[in-house]
Amino acid sequence: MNEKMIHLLVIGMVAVSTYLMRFLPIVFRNRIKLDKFAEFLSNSSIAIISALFITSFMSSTTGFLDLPVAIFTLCSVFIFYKLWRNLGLSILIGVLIHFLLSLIFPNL
Amino acid sequence: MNRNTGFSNLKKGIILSLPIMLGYIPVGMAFGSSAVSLGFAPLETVLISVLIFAGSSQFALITLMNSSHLMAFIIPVFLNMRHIIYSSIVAHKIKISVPHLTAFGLTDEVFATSVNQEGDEKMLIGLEIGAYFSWIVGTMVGAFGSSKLLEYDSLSRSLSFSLVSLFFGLLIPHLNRREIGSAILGGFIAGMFYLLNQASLGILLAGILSPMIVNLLRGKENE
Repeated sequence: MNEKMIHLLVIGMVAVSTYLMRFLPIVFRNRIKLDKFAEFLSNSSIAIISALFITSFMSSTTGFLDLPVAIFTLCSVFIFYKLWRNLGLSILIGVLIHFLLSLIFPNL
Repeated sequence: MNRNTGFSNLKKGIILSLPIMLGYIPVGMAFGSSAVSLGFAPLETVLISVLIFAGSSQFALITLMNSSHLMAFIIPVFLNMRHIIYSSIVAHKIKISVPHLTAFGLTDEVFATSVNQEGDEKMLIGLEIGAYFSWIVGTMVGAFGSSKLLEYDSLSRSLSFSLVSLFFGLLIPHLNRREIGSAILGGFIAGMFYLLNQASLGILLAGILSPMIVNLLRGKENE
């Protein structure tokens, strides 16, 4: 099987699994008891998002010179998110600030 | 319920989805351009959004696909397990008569908006329609426009960094006293494994070990 087919297979499997996780609890709503499961899943989701953040941060900042731009960008995302409570806009501003800083300090 | 009420609730849902749309279009664009910069074809990128429609897990999928196919499946599924909770809560709050349709669009933002509103299944579907189409439009703009955008090295690097910003943005609401323990532990485990060149394993272990350790520590605190 070539790489493209494997990609499509993985995408399909994630799509079906995601759909079933949304669909089955509605169908079996009277049988699911969530009390203990809910807390584990909630903590697990936060830990995974944090893990994805750290991993992507470490892989995108290739050296100490990248750090000031990366940290400044994340600080602006944090500030704009706190001001507007809008994830999309905060990320858009973050991308613009990162881009402007990369233009101003091209050697960083 | 008569037909007019049903239509008006659907319209109400679409109007309520406007703030979600505003958020989804730029994130969808960031997803589209990030996927293309990571080697995905534009059509393949749009297909991911059309079929999966779950932001953070889509970013995880494209991040992990080049390193491990197994992890590119396991981590998004693990991340999406919170949807079990969302669907269960929504099913107890709203009478669902077309679950195969309603279930598809239950994202974090749709769930959060629907639980804060009085409405029926039509309103929920309206919310989902607005959210879904803005996500697809954003992805298409990012995926098909990125070939022009990626010609500029600085812009390409900034768009790739949007992935880091997204995960950070998703983390911000959880930086409170109750949840910060899971976030710190998850980040620490992933960081350690990244340094050992086992990034994917680190993410999976972060998701399993962090809640266990947090529960253990809370149990000791309560003793």
